[in-house]
Order: sequence, then C-alpha cells, then structure tokens
Amino acid sequence: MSLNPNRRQLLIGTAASLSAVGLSLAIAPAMAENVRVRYFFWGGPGRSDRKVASVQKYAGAIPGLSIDAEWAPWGDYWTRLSTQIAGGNAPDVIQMDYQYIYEYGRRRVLLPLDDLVPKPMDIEAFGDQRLQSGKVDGKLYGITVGDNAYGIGHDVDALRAAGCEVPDDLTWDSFRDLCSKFAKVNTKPNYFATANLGGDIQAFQIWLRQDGKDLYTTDGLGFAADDLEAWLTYWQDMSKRGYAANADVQGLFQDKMESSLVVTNHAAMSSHWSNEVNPVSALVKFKFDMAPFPQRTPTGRSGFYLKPSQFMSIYAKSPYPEQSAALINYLTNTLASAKDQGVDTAIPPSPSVREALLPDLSDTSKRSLEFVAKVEQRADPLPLPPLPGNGEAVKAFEDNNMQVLFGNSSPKDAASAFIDQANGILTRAKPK
Amino acid sequence: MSLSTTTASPDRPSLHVAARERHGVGRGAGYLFLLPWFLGFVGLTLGPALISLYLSFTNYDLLRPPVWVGLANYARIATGDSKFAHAIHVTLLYVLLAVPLKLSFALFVAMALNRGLKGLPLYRAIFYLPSLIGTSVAIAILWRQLFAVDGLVNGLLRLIGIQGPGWITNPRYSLYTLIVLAVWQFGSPMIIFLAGLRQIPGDMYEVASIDGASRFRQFLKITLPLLTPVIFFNAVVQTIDAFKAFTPSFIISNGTGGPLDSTLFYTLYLYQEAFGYLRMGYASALAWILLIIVAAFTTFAFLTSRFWVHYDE
Repeated sequence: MSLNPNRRQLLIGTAASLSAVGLSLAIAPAMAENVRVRYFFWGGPGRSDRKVASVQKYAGAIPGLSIDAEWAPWGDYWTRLSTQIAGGNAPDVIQMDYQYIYEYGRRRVLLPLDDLVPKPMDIEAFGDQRLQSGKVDGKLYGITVGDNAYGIGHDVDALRAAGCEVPDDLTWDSFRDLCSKFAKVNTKPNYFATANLGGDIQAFQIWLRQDGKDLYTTDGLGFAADDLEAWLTYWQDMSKRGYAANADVQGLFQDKMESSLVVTNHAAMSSHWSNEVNPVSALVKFKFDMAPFPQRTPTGRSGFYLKPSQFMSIYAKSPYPEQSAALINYLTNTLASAKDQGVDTAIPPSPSVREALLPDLSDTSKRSLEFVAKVEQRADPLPLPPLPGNGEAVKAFEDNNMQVLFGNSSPKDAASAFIDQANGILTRAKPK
Repeated sequence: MSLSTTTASPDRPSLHVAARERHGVGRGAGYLFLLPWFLGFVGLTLGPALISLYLSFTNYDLLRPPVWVGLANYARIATGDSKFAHAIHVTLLYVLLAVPLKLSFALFVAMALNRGLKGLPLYRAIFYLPSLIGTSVAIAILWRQLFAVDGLVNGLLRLIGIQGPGWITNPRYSLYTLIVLAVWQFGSPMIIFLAGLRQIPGDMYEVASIDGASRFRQFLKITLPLLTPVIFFNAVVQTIDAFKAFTPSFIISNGTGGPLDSTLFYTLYLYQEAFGYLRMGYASALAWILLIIVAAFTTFAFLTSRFWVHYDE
C-alpha cells in the first residue's frame, strides 16, 4: 500500500488529534473539580424545562461541577434508559418509578444509597414511610421526590353549567347518579360525563382495596375473576347508559396526560394524578380540579394511598456517587429547587420545605395540595410494589375492558381471560 | 434486481487491473475507496445482524449480561406465542392488501400522466409528494386527526347524513386506515411505472389500433406484458417495504398496536418485546424469523418470475 505524502500527513494529523482527545478524557476524572454529572428524567415540555433550568442554576453555584440534564416523555424514557444502560452509557442520576424500582434494584443497576444518608442527603425528616417506599430487600435504592395522589380530575366549568359539582365523599352509586344528572343536560356529541375507567388498572386497584384486596400479593394476583367481573360490569353499564365514553371515544385516550378525555374535551371527568393539576390547567381553558375517588360505602375503607411520585436513584457504576447524591438532595430537599419547580412533580416530601413553599403557590398548585391533603386524611397504607411483568399486565387489562366495550366479550369472559393472561405474563416475567 | 440484463464482460476489466498494478497504484486504492462502504456494512449491518443472531439464543434483557438458552426462544415462537401468530396475521393482511392496491393505483395514475399532458413534471412532483412525507411522524399524527371519531372524515360524512365510526379507534377499521395511508404513498412506484411506460414503443399501439384492438385489449396485450419487469421490480420492493412497516402503526397507536392489537405489525411486536418488556433475546429471535419470511417471499417471487415476467430481447 502506498500513500502519497499528503494523505499520510492527514492521517498523522488525525491520529494526533484523536490521541489528544483520548488524553483529555483520561485526565478529566483525575481533576477533582471537573465533575460532569449526567441526570436523566421523564417529563413533559414546560415543567421539564423549568427543572433543567433549576439544575443548571445549582450547578452554576458549585465550581467545577457541570450537569447534563436530559429528559424524555414517559414512554420513551424507559426505552432510552435501558438502551443507555446496555450500551454502558448510563446516566449518573436516574429517575425511577415505583413500578420499576424492584426490577432495576434487583438487577443491580442501582446503587444502594444507605451510606449517603445523612450526608450528603439529609432526608430523615421525610419520615419513615416515605423512605421505606424506596427500599428494595431492605436497601435504599430510591429517594422519593414527594407524594402524589390519584383521583377524579374534572372540568369544573362544564359540570357547573350542567348544575353539577363533584363532592369529596362520592360513593360508586352517587358517582353514577352524578353522571346521570350530567348526561341528561349534556347535548355535545361525543362528549360524556366521564371517561370509561374500566381499563384503568389503578382505579381498579382502589376499588379492590376498598374490599380489602389488592392487585398483587408478593407472588401473584391478589384478586379473583369475580372481583374483576363486578368492576367491568359497572363500567359496561356506565357506557351503555351513555354516562361514560363509548369504545370509539375511549380509544382516543393514549395513556398520557395530554390525551386524557378531559383535556381533549370528550368528558367532564377522568382519572388524574395530583401533580397533573398544573400541567393540565396550562393546556385547557376551563377550571380543572380534583376530587377523591368514589368509595363503596361512605364509612368503609377508602383504598386511597399516597404514592411516591417519582424516585431519584444513582447508577450502580457511577463515578460520582457523592456529587450525584448532592444533586438528589438539592432536588428533593431544598427550598430553592422547590421554588423553581412548585408542585409540578410532587408535593415536596420535607415538611419544612413544604411549609416555606406554601405562601408562594399559585392557585392551581394550591388546588393540587388541597386535594392531596384530602386524600391523606383517609389514606390507607401504600400497596406492595407491582410485580415484574406489570407493564404487560396493564396493557392486557386495558384491552380486556375494550373487548367488553366493543361488545366482543362479556364482563365474565373478559375477567377470566385477563386472569389467564396475567398469570402467564407474571410467570414469564418472574426473575429466575 | 437490475432491470437490464447486460453484464460486464469478464476479460477486459482484468486487463485494466493488470495494467494498473504495473503502474504501482495496485489494489490498495480500490480497497481504500471501498473502505467507507465496507466499514458501514460491517459496523452497522453485518456486525449487528450477527450479534442479534447470537442474542436470539440468549435471554438478554439489556440490563444484565446475556445467558445462553439454546433454542428456547424459537421454541416459544413456534408453539406458545399467540401474539406472534396474531402479528403475522395482521402483517400478512397488510402486505397482501396494501401492496396490490398501491401498485394498481400507481399504475393507474402513471397511465393517466403518460398521455402527453402539459405540465407533466409538476403533476409528477405533486403526486410524488406523499411518498416523501408519508412515512413521517407528522403525517401519522395528521392521519390520527383525520380519522378520529370527531375528525375531518366523519365531519364530511355527517354532511351527507352518515355518522361514521372511530376509524382508528375501532379495531374493525383501524388496519384499513393504515392501508389507505400506504396506498396514498404511491409516488415512487408511479415514477418507476412512468419510466417503464415511456419505454414501450408507440408504434405498437398504432399498429394495434389499426387492427381494431380496443383500448382495454391494448392494455392487456401490450402494456401489461411489456411492463412486467417493472411490475416485478415494484412488487418485490414494495412487499419488502410493507413487511418492514413500523412508523404508521407506532405513531397512530402510540406504540401499542391497538386498538385491541388490530394494528400490531410484526415489527411493532418485535419492538415491544425488545424495548417495552426488555426481552431483547426473544426480540432478536423474532427478527430472524422475519428475515426468513421476507427472504422466502422474495425467493418465491424470483422463482415464479420466469413464468410471467417478459424481458425484452
């Protein structure tokens, strides 16, 4: 092979500059004050940008620290996170969900955080239950960013125009009456009193807990086909009467806040999380508020619970556990960060931060806070974390409700079909 | 799939190579020019393909190192996976409907444009446009809006007194909206048909009409036979494309293949297994099965082609 001098020079030049890059990469970790922490989280536009700005402000105040904060929508987040981990390119600070913390914790992807408390993470004031929720097999893998509660998000204006309002002490019967009252007045085509929540597994979980059952035990399903049949029958009836969305309209909901039937103007009520009050209010023209879920009886178990909205975790092989932990402390435990973010992500877990934040809150934030307080009064303990395979089971759950709504299947058949499918899914996903 | 049957004669180029070697340029330069393609092929196509073949025999979950499980993934595909069978059904239905419809429509438009129309380049560009933008995310979202229960299509239907269903939210119709979307992207086969039609000598039609052959008969006896190489090419390319379809269903169903798995394309199922449920090993096995299916279809097309494809002598 013969190269002419020009090409050879070019090659030598390239090689030299490549090795220079390699050299600087090798030096970087050695210089203590040149730390670059990567932080990856899920979110939506607006609130995520506020979070990035807040994190940059924090990094700017600490010499030698730089933070790469990236975000993705919920659905893409998990795909990108798993590919980054597989590619040996994992972020240092990882956002976790209650649904996945066991899968990631047990696969040793996450760093046990016990040694990083109370320094740099001074989080004991969060309370035992909140810290407990981030533990897997007795080890702390995730720091909660705060509480979130599930409830009936609703269009206050549309309901008021129909002479309705959502009380705090709904039962499933009075909820049906409320929808009936609304449906009688409503004239808008393709618009309903409520979304059909028959396929909403988290709403079903609250219904189950009101009966003293739950979705999962430690090793399988916590309910029988009869329980599910009753639930599917309730919602089939709601749609048949024209109170809840029919199959064609319900299909427009795509598992994200922006496609909620309340947001897209197809229903006056639907299920929402408390941290969605702000972002939903930014998307719609009407007044959006939340109310607790209906109960079986006014005095029975509520089945409600406060869910850790999100966790912050650290990658097991992160070169900067200290700096990562300090960032987590900033995001979960300081007034500065809480002021930047409000209650976009959750109600802050630290009592002192929460209190200091109160006077500055916007109307919508206050609504979110008040709703969480209502749920907290009646809350039962946090359910066990979902078993591996939950993601697939959630989809099967939705599909079986749709089979009922499309008239392809009776509630009884759909319920036993789901039990079969879910058992298969859980067995296959069981860690070996 | 070259349209021409001429191949370079083997003797003369080798003389050239010998001449070049004497001049000291050698094969090195040739390989150097080949290098960019070769690196891309090995690094981005062959390498990952071989790795996926290996992974298809493991239980790789992206988070932990892969563990060898032998033929377990393939055994599950063959026996215990009803979703696999369903995804095959959806994909075959899509391929068998979308490809013939798209090709017929493309040929129809090409023939309409082939009549010495004024401003042909403009029309050609306009009709080609959907093919450029059709696979984009924006169009998939637009499609969702058009065919929603209160979308534009139903708005038009309401004008004539029909209450349409939710075309994309109803599992009975959702796949057909995707087929319509595919047919709408008829541009690239149309361009190729146009080029093919131009090749047919005009005097053939002249002679035929003097002999009293009808337009339809001319189409059957002249246009179609002479166009078979182009039809063959288009059919193979479009079939492979249709098997690989992913974006429309991914965007319109939000990655679920819904409603009720009615748009669960094979590629989408594969994607769900890999990234939704972290079963990369299983997904790799699915990918190899797809490769085998597409290869079988293509081989079948080539084997039968000599019975119906007429090349010019």
